[in-house]
Amino acid sequence: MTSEHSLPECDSPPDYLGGDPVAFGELVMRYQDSLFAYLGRMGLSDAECQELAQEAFLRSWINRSKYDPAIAAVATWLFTITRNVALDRLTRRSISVNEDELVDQQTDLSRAANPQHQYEQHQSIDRLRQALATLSAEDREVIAACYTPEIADTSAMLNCSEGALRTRLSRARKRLATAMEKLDKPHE
Amino acid sequence: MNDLDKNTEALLTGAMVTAPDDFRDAVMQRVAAHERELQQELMAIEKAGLQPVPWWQWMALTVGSLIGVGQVLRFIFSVWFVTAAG
Repeated sequence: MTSEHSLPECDSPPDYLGGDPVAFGELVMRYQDSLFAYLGRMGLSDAECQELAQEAFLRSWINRSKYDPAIAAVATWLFTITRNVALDRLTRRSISVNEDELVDQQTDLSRAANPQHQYEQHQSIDRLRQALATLSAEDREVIAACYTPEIADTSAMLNCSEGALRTRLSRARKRLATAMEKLDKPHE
Repeated sequence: MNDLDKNTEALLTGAMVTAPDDFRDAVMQRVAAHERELQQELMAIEKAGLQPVPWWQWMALTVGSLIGVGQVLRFIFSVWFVTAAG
């Protein structure tokens, strides 16, 4: 479920809490890819990922005085903000996204990549995104959180017990598998 | 099939989206813009707090107060007058 290449956790309180922009820039560099990957797992488009990741980092800067290192690690704090930003977006707009728009947008990306394997990779990602887009916000958040190794305490972040998390993940995975099957056989 | 295939697992485990090269700069620009905005708001509040009240406002307050006191005295006097007249 989680990969081995997780980032080492910051134990000391981050310097950016004091309002140091340089330290904040380092924090952005450190976590930007993880945040993008997390948002991507929620089935969001590239443009949305960029917009929401920016929003999450900006909120973490604005609300830095509210961060308490004794309560949560920096990564958990950042991912919680990102989760809230993403859920806000998913619930504000219709959960069933305009799939035609999604396909158009991603086909353009696919065409830009010339090598065959890159094209196939894009196709697979498009297919997965389309399947994720059919899931509820709750299913997407549990998948995104469980597949993000940087989130140390997933159950705490999602406010549920370990057992409930396993059940939620199992159901979400099944629904995702069914959605992908439907994409493969649209007329059945 | 009720579970995810290996390819999907691999895609979910890897990064489906990666940050563009200039992402950090974009974030820092937004942070700088936010800080500028905050600074301007603080300056505007400070400026509004330090600005002396214009003379005509003091004048209006004084005249208004005198009229108000006059009205109250007039009412008291009229009550006294009616009572005294029987």
